[in-house]
Amino acid sequence: MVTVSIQNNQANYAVSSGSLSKQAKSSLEQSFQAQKNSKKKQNSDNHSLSYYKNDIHKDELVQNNTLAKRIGINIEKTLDIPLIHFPRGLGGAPDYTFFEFLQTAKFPYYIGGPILAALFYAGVKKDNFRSAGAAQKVAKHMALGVGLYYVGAALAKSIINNTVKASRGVDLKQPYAKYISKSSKKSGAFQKDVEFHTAFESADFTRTDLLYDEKGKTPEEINKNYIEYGKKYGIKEDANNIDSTIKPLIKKTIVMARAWQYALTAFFVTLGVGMANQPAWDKSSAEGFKKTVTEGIFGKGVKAKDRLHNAKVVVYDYMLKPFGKSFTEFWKGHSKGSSIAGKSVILATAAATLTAITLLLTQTSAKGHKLETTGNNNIKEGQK
Amino acid sequence: MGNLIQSIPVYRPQTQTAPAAGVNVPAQTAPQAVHKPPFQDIKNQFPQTQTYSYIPARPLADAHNTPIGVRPAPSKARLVHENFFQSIGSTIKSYGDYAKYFYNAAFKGEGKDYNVGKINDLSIRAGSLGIAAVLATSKMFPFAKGMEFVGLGTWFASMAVWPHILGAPIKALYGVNINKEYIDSEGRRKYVYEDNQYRPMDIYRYADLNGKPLSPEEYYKKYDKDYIYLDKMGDKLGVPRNIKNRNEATMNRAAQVAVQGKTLWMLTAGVMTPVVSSIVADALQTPLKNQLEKTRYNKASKNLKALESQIDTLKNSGNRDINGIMSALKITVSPKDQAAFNALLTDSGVMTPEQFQKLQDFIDTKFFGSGYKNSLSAAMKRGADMTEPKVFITKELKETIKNITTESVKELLDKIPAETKAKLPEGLLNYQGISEKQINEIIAGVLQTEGIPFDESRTIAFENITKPLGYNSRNGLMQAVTQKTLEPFAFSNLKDKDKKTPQRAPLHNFNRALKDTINAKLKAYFDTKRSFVVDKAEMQKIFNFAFTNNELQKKLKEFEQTSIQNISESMTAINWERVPKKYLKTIGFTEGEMAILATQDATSASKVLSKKFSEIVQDSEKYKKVIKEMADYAKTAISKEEKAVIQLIGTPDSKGVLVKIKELMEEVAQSNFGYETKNELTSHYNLRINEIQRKLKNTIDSYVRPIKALDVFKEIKNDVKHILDYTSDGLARTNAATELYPLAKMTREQQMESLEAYIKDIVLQKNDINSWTTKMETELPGAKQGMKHSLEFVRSIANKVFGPLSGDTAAAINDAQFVDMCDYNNRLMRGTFLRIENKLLKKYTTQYNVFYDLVDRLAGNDKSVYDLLVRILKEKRFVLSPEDFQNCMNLLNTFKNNGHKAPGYKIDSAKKFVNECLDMHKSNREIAQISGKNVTDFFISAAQETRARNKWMKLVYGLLGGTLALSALTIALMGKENHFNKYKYEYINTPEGADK
Repeated sequence: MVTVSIQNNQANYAVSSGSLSKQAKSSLEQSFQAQKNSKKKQNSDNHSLSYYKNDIHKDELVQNNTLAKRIGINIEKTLDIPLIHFPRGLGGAPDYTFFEFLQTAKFPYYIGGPILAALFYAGVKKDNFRSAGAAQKVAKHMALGVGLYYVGAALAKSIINNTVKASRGVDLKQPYAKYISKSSKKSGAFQKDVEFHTAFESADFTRTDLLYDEKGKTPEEINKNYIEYGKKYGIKEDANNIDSTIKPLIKKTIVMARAWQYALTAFFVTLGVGMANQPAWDKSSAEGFKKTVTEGIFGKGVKAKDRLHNAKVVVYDYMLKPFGKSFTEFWKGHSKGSSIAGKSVILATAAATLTAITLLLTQTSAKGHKLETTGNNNIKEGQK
Repeated sequence: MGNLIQSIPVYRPQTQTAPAAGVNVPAQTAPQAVHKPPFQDIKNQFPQTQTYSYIPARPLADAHNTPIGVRPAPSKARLVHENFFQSIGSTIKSYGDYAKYFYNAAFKGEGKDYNVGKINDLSIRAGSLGIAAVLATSKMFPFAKGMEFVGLGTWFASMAVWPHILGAPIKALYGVNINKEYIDSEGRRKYVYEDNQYRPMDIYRYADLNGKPLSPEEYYKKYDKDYIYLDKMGDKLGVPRNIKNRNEATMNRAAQVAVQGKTLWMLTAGVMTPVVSSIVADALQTPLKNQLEKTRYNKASKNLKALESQIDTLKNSGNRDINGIMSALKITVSPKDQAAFNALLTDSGVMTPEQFQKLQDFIDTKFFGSGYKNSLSAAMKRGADMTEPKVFITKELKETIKNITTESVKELLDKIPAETKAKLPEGLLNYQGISEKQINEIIAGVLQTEGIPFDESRTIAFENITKPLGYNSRNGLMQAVTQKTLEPFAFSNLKDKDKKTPQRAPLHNFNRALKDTINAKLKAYFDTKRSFVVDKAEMQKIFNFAFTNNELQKKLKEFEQTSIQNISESMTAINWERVPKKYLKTIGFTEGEMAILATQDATSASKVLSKKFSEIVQDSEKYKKVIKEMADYAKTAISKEEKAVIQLIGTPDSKGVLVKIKELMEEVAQSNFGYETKNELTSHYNLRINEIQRKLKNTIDSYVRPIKALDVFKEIKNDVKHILDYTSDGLARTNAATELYPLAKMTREQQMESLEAYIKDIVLQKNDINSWTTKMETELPGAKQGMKHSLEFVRSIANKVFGPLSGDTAAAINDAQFVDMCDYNNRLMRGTFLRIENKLLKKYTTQYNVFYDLVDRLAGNDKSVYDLLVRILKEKRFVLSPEDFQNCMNLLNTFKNNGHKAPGYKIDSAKKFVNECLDMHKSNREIAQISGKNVTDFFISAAQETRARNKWMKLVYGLLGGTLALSALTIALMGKENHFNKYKYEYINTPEGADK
């Protein structure tokens, strides 16, 4: 299905730029259009990713925001960094956007840490058996530190996202597909396709316009999303003007959530690196982990039951157990200084998380916000 | 509605100049049609159409003021033009702003994308600081702690610096500064080229040729047209001059370069930030380490000097009261320790054995490893008086007796074999302990001894008697209990000869064993009823004394840890990190040789070394250079440690702090606790002093040994000849006697060759003479027994291997003091190792002494060795007792002054005493401590360090070079026409004439 729709698109493109006679062109166009419409209908019904990639003609909210779809979008976005954004940037494309620049900025963020750890490992004495062992240990902690750094950062974001989603119904990760007009696309390699943004990524230019259901007939139908938000924000208002009441609240929520995401990241990455530095991780070897994964889970001729067991071993013995233990070790510390450091990092992280959640729960609700009275809405009068 | 429409400017047919119908407009305010239509050419093309004229918008009401909001407010944006320091200042200031942004956003939900984005910057830095702090606390030593923050600093510095490094050539080539910032009308700092879709051209309007923003007045004084800066930029970018809208074209081209530059930045930052950060942090390590070492040492040294002057004052004051000394040294027992100590003492001063044991245990653990635990225990025992056991006739006593009898029988039964058991009476096997009746009988007997009457029924109320049992009563009780226990089995009635019969013997033996067991158990029970009378003031004194000693040790330890102790970041450790690598470099190994040294076994490594050393000694210029350099490195490494050791221990002529403390505390111990405690303390302090001395010897030996090894390589031919000549008689004799001596069967050439290889191997790998012999056997195949059968042979090899440096080497070093230090060190090492050889040569053990030849010479007529002998004796001033030391010194003086030549002088016993005093006997542990690293190991670890570093350098500089090359290439290709950019210009004149 995916391939078909791509072929359609290409065929369509070739036709429109070809030199066929007008008649032939229009008849072909019609038939393709018909095909395309039928596909489109199917696609828009089940909201597959390729629909958003190929068939949209305006910015659209991605429906059914599932994990699988988000992963698909992220893979798409990640692949675009080396395949599209970097070539375009290095060429100095005139239509290069700030979004693309931000996408390229992810590259140094994710390779800087591992390279630093690798450079450290390159500098240790490996010829000597004893120091090689010690170095491997340190390198392992560093690699783990880099890993848990990213985990910590992701955790901080996810705590806030979930809080906001649960309390206000606002899904900060809600993606939308930004349509890039075909006329502005340059032909040839490295053309920009569709950009996947998130609807709430900007507080200044929040895509609240995408939240209306344009197919709706009545205000209740059009403002369906806003009415949902309204319930969560604690607003009981006329379906006609609930959107204008909600919008400033959404903006406020975005600002507060982003601020706390960044702030919590500082705490959680410290916690992550602190935990990675604990002896709990020494016991399980990286070698054993690798073996269990490659031979125990994905190896040939392993019984399904054993695979399951090995998966449990990997998750529990190699990850959760040392993770939990490293937490207690970090709390206790091995010296007076490190014990104070561990306790204060853990307590500060907990306190900051609680503060963030409390503020988000209390300050973004309608109670915590001075509602701007919009007066009588005049939509109906206007229609007269 | 009509009014609204009127306010929109429109083109209307010229004929309809009057206002639209139904609109009542005052005639005097009606705008006049403009009779000069702008599109004259269009009009001409379509003459048949109506003529339109432009009617400007008419205000809804009379305008008295300029309407607000009609046109945008003038932009207040300005370019940022700062030097390096100003930009640091504004960076710091901006973090204050970011904190404000955070407060507003996080607590009030106020802010814009810009502000929220800045919170991320703040948070990344805060998080990194947190990580550095957490990692620093996990490190043990100040330098490692500091490096966490240095690493953080270099990380952010290189992150900040890299775009500027990239930006410089881009700016030089194309005139586009990708790092240029401006402050927008709302006061927010942004990059000019931040968003490619937003190009703030206006801000360049009044910028001068250097990009410095001027006020319009200033600007027009200098230039007659706007955008002079863009003009210049366009020239650099190669934008043709004679085109329309040149500034816009320039901005577009600048945007292209900026996008390219910033993409290149993102492409390279991930590699360059860690690479530059590591290079800078690495470069900072050496100066930082030096500075830290200096600061730490100076601080510790200063503290030690302050302590020394305090000790001097105390010594002179003659005050030996421990409390006085404590207050003079400002040592106070921490309340916690004092409370713990007090809790162990009883108010009355009477303590049970358990309590007393606890007190001892407390002191033991508290001052564990301090070395004067024993002296403390001795003093404590003396300070506490033991009392007689206080045993009362109580219910507890009765129960105890019953239990003891039961347990004793049971214990013994468990021990004996089954067949013996079978011969024992039935009642004994099921023994349930002494009966109530029997106990009463025993006690009645005891009471009788005490002179207390008892009633007929023998059920006296025992509890009423409050007097403890006397010695006789206790003995009587013990006897009675054993007797009564055995009574039922009629053991006690047996006659002696009956006891020996086979049937009776097991019972008899059992009887005897049981008696002993019960007695022992009762005795132990009585002991628990003893108590100790403790003098609390005396105990406190002991505690204070121990505490004071501990505190003094701590202060000394602080100094040792920064200097001579081989722990991370001490002076010694830093030397070990650096000096061997310098030796390695001086000798000049190739990459391949280094790989063998670093990765293969010691034998292969020593082969490489042997080859290298042989090469160096061939070239006398190189030899001189290598020796000189190595000696210089050794001097710096050794002198630092020597200085520290002198400060601690001093020289034989002037005492160091540790020795002064020792003497003071000895006097305190003597006057407060007596001779025993003082002696214990002395031996403890001597141990410490000797350990410190051994540490210094180890350092000297380690660094001197490669120099001596090279010297041996240089002299090897002569040495081998000399050894063979010197021992030829011995060889022949041994050979004749045993036919085992390995060299005997060889020709002279073979002998020379073998011995040469052997000695080279010794100096590179073996320093312990113990292993010389076994090595000899493997080196010279076919010999089951080796060199140890020739004492002269061993001695002559030792004389060469540990002998003085040759004249050439000494001349190359050109420092008599250092040469003397090397020679003296070698002499002592030889003495130490040859002392082990004595064990091998059993027949010489009793007579052979290392320095006997020197003593003989002094006792003869060679008085030149006197100084050397005194020096060796002084070496042992903390080993020998003061009396022995003095006596030995007196004897040396006697020998020097020929006093021993007086008639009747017992010269033999005098020499024997001197030899014994000078003897270098040492435990294996001590030998291990003083003998330095062997030459091969020394170079192996240096090679490993160097190679690790080389690998790192290759990687880091490879990445740096690669990234720089890639960047340079990319920069060279910027601002050119390409796939995305096609330059098309509308020329003002003909394109052909479009030169710049």
